Amino acid sequence: MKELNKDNQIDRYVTGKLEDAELWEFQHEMENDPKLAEEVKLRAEIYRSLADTQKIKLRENLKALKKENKSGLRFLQSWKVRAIAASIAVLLLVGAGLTTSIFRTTDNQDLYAAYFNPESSLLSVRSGSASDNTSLNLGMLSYDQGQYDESIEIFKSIPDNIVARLYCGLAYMNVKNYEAAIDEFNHVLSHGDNLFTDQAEWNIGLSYLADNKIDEAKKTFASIAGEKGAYQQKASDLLKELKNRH
Amino acid sequence: MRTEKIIKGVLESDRKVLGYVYKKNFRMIESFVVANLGTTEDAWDIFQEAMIILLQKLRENPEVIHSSFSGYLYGIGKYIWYSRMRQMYNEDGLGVEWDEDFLAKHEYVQIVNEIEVVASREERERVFQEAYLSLKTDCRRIIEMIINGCDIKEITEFMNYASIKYAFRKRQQCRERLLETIKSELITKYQKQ
Repeated sequence: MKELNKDNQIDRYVTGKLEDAELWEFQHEMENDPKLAEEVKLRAEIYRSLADTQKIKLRENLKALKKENKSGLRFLQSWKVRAIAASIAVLLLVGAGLTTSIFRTTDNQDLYAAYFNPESSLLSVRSGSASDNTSLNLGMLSYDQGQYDESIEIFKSIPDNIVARLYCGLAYMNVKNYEAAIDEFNHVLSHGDNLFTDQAEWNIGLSYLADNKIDEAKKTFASIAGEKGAYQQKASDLLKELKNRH
Repeated sequence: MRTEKIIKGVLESDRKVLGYVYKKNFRMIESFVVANLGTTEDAWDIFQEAMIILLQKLRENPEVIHSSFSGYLYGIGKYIWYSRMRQMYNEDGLGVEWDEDFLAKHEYVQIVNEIEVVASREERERVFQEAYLSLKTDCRRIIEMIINGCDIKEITEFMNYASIKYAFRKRQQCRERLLETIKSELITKYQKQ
């Protein structure tokens, strides 16, 4: 009970409700009890922070935003799963033959969509010159905003920048110009910078896959799967799925 | 959307504007965090904290943004993530590569100078406010009333409780829950550092 009263007393002190003798006594007690003084200090800090309704409202709204976007994503994912399940069902019903070969392209697109993740390819910017960095940042900004044609134009203005070439390839993939994308990634590979070669090679494989050049895609993924690298496991999984289908 | 409109929307916590800011900036922050040993969940956290620091800075000086809104928010996000990574990995000696070129960039140095103090203060505030937001609505209301200096009679009446005794118990429970959550979070945080 004594503890409870002390808690209430701290609240009343912090909110300016203690008066006269009680206030004087409490202040005196704090001077002689550093633990109590520390508790009062923390309580005041907490209440001051919780009185900031503008900031709390922003936090609340950002949380709601996160929830909305996550449920949106879940919906999209479950929609994708249902769509894939439906297409498999159609395949089973229709059976083998010409229809199957028509649907194969769609299958590959599904595989491509499942494995192509442009965000995970992005890297923090490193560059030799300041002017390069400005263009690179501008290009990245356009890329991140989904303005791929514009980002390609910017990346093309700094052909010696290896990161720009990598992004340029990714931008080409997003506009479905896979041949151009492969050219960019090949340039990255020929440069021999180990930081980016894994990603370049992986995206070459994905570009072949999206372009329905299955043999080239298989060769590329087999090469990645055979070496220790960031995409070894993914390439091996994808290769298995491709072999099951073709 | 014009920067002035975005700033006004952030200050007012306008849902529509926040949605726009998220749409235009989250992917960029996420890309950076994921490329630097983080997850999408970490990126959400960084996005939220960057927005809170931005709000604080805008309240202090509405003209704090020198160039683009996106660039400023991205700079804050990077700073928070780098700070966390330093805390998490440096002591363990794990090999995190710092983008020193970026860290030395004038715009970034300027942002760091402006937000360093605010960011460390916000870390504590975050613990307090998140603990508060984790409480149930009735507890949040009671805490709000305590902060506003309401006495137990006022709490009983406002919350429509059957008795003062019940209100006493409820007030004590809510306060305890809040303080315990905060203290345990602070202890975990300092143990990590």
